[in-house]
Amino acid sequence: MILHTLNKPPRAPAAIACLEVLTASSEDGDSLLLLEDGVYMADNSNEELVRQVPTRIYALDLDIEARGLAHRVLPSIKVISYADFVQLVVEHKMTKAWI
Amino acid sequence: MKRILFTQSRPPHGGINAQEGLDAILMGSAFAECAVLFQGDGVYQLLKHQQPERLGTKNFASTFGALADYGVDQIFCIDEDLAKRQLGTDELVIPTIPIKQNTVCEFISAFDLVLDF
Repeated sequence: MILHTLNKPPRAPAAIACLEVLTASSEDGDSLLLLEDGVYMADNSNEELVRQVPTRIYALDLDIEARGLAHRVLPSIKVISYADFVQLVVEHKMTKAWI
Repeated sequence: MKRILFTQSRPPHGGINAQEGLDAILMGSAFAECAVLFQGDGVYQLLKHQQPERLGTKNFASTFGALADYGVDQIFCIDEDLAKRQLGTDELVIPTIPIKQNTVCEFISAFDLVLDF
């Protein structure tokens, strides 16, 4: 049960590495949280990319709003608050930051 | 004793992450059982023949050789990340244990804590 966090846009090396590893090895209960510039992955235009991610995906609401993406978020991605973020950290065994 | 995994994922001389990560590993080894995973462009940290002195940055690659003296002898690389960059293990400053990309999440889960640099 790993909470993976990604704070870089989808074409950044950290994002590519994160998606490769999630696709190849993620397990039941693993989750991906998009934050800071990572939320760009939640944009409509990345539907195909997001479909390949085997874990549940969350995105931080304030980072979504700040970037004007609130009306462009893919329906498969759950938009959450900072309080929800804390809850996710508690629920997972560990947090791995893809930086 | 807690088992901590440090991940090194940035190339060596474009920022402070790599050096900071190495410093953290050395400090962490005083308190916990530490392992290191080199992933993505982080594998470039281990390349032999780095000569950053004229850039004014420290050649910390040589310090990786001291990890064993600090009791850090579990040093891993993701196989695919080496292959993608056409790096052979003979081109690295220290021996590493290869792990396959499709086992990375399971591998990480076996530790108590992961710290990412």
